[in-house]
Amino acid sequence: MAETLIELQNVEKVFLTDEVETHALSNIHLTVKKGEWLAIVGPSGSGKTTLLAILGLLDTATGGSFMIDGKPVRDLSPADRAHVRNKHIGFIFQSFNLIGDLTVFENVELPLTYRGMAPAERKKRVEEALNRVGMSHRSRHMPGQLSGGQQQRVAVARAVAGDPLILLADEPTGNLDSKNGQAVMKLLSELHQAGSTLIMVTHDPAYARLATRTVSLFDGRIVEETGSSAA
Amino acid sequence: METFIKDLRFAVRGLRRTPGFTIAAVLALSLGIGATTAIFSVFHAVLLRSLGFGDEQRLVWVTAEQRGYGWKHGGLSPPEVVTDLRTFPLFEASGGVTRQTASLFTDRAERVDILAVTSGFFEALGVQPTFGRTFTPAEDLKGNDAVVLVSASAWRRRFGADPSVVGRSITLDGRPHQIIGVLPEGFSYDGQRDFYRPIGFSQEQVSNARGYRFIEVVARLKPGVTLETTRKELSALAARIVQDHPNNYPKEFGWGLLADPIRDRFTSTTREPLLVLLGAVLLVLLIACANVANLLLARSAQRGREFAVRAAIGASRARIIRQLLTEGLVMAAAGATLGVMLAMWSLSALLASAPRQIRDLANVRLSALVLAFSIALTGVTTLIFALLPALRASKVDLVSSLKDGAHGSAHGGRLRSFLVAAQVAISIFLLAGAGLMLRSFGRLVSVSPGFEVEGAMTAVLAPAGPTYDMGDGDVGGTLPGYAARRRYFADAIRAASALPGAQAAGGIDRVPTVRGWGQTYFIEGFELRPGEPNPTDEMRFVMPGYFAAMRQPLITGRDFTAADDAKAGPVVIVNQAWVRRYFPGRDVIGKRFRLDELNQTRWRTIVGVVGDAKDAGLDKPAPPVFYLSALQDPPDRLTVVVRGNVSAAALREALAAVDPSEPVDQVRPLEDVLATALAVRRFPLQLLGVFAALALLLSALGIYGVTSYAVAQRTREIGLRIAVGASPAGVVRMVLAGSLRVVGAGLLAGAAGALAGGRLIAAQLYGTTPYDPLTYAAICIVLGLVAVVASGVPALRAARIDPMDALRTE
Repeated sequence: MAETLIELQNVEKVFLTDEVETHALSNIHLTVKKGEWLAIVGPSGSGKTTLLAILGLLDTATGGSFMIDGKPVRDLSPADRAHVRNKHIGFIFQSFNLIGDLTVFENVELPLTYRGMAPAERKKRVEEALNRVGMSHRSRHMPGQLSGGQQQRVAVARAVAGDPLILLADEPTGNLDSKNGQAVMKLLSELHQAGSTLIMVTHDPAYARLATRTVSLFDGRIVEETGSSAA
Repeated sequence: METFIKDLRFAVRGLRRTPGFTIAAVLALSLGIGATTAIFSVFHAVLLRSLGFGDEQRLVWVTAEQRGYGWKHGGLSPPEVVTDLRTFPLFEASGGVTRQTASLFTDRAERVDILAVTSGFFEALGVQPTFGRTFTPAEDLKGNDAVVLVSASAWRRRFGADPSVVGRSITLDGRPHQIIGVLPEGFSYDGQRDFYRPIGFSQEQVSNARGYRFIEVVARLKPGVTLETTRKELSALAARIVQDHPNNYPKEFGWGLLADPIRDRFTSTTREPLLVLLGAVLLVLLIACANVANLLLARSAQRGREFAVRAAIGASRARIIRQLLTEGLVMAAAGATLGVMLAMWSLSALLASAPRQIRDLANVRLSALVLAFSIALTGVTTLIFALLPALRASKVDLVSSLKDGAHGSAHGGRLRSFLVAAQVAISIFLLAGAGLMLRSFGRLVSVSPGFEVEGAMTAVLAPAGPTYDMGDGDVGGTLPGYAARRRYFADAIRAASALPGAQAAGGIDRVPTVRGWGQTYFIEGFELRPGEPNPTDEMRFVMPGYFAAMRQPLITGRDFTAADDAKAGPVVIVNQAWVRRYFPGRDVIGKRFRLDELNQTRWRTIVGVVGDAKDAGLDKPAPPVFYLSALQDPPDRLTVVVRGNVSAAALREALAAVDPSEPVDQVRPLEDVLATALAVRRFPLQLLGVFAALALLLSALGIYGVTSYAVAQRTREIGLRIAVGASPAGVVRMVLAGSLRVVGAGLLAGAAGALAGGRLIAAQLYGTTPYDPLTYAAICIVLGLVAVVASGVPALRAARIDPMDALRTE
């Protein structure tokens, strides 16, 4: 039986706008085991991205409990959250979110720099990550000189370079054509097979089927779970 | 360190990628830092720099006061300097000093500025000559005083740095003087001078001339003696002197001795204007910082997603702030480098237009300390302009910023508006200062000096050779030198009158606006109030023809004539201010007075009344003045005035021919004499004007930048408005209204601040108050117009937005 990596108990997220309460997430119970690939699906406005933001410590839950690797993280200070994100979470965004003024190498290196890693170790890890996504030949390029698919591969390299506990992907193929989309999904599959824990938000049922488990959201609630949580 | 270098590299790359932003920011910073560095270097040279005297803390400047007249820092007499102060127990050494000119005769006659001192002067200052010795007490007395010390620069320039110069002789005022020493490099008391010689008192002066007050004293306190104790003991000494010599120090004079730190001697008059200028230039720097902060806010709003990505992958808020501060530092360093170059260039222009009256301007340079100041300023500037945007930018909303399609954040609009309003407020403050000084200067320039300024040439004669020796220089002296002077001056006026183009010629010892002598006298028929001392007024010496040459009107009576010479009865002319003061509304022709000096027993009869001239300066009311006939009482010097079309060269040549052994000095149009008097006011005005113009320019850029940014942010909204029927004029009005609301708020705050702070420059104003409504109205109109233009350009751009394009961009 694989270890539990993420555990959400009764998590809720409420937005207050002009004294109107909007329940983005309600009563979320979710457990993610090490090595699992979880797909989160649902229509627009169902709370997928909010849930992913909470899982990635980009946002805070209004209620409930949230543990990563057995440690409560809901009430961490902003600095501690940044530390956890840096050390344990890798992000892959729909719009790649590479920094335009940094080279491919520097983009991948950035989270390792924030970690305070020694330059030699950083170099080794960045080269490994770029090799893994097949982008080492473009390490000196600027993001603007790459295609969308290439940029997303670099984003994947940045996400995995620090060897995080969890990879979070928000519509990773949303801005790509089908060919590049498939290539990125193949890359994610390879990462999963190599032991990575993946949580992915997607609209595409075909890509969701690649995951070991799927959670469907509707109006901020989990309405369906398919697949097994055993990795 | 490695991450700092990475941050630096990233900052440089980012700045290169946005050249428009970078140029605007670096230029604004360079203007602010450059101007501040330039003014600080003047401030440092004039107010902070070591005066070059050893152990400056122990040096005091001793002068006299006459509380009865409200006079401070007046001169001391020879007995006070040589007898009373030299033996003062708290002084380790003391010496007197006064400024003189002398004619130096080499292959031609040349007028040189001299510092005349007593023995003890150099010892008090802690100055040792490089060669030779300083003056001995015996050389304080006439007969022993034909000795001279040479400055290091004169030693090089005039004597080829010859080490055997000591013992050689030079001719000063027609008498040989032996060089006894060379002063050390860089020594200067109140400006560069080539020669230093003893004042040369007569025995009579040392013993009795307590009314002959023209010397200031420098003293070195004994170790451990405080200024407070010194003041107390000097006050006791003054009381004893008054008690011992009641005739020389009438109680009503309220005579006393003052001791002040030596630095006050050189900085008391320049400190306030320089502090005002430093304050003004720091405000310009603040505007530049606000401008750059605004640019940074706009830029960081566009970089919201980048900061969100950095935060998402683990950068803490402190780490992002550090990155942004590093970027700020790179900009500030570029701005400082350019600013220091700007300061170097502007300093030469600044010094060229500076008045000679400000001591130590020659020492203004970008020293290591000034550069250290610039570096510190760069650090502080970075914190001011970069910290606020960094704090704001680092507080990023991760979820919305990372969403696909998210654009730059529109947050910070209020802060940006506040910064623009602050810039406008500071600009108004500076513009008000410059405007008030300009108005004041305009008033001053338009003041009638009481004579016609244009079309007259002047030259100064100060005969000093043995032929013209006046002994103690008393009025009414009888030495042969007095007769020689009368002849010399009369011949000079005749020579000037004879020049082709000359319409009238005359002479006066010192032209109006140049300070003359104060003289105490007794007026027949004028009743003093009980306890009131005899009046002391301005006394000037004029040659016949002077008033006609100056076109200073004769009101009643007659002008001096050639017949008013030494053989005739003493006559005097007074001005209207004198009549108003002593005999208002009455005929004063025929009234008499006599000078209040021991040897002055003759009555002088008033023969004429002339119009008032601005003798004490253009910014002061005309004081009561009486004029003696220079043919009866020749003065120490004469300023020849020729009305008509006469060139400087022709006048110089004609006067030099009268006595080739005497130099002819300061040959210049009468306008220049007045311009010199105005220079002290023109200098801060010019600088404040430049700062105000810079402030206005930076504010205009700020208004333009913020309005442009707001228009860019609202492109979709404006497009929508146009799509649903808004007219272009309506869009322009809407954008202008938004911008002018901010400007209006700044304008009100600035005007309120300027009104409250007006007293800072009140002392430098003439003919206007710090609350002059016309000035405030004018600057509000100017700034309003600038604001309309600066926000009008983006407003017009907004009116031309294509609604389809705007809606498609989203």
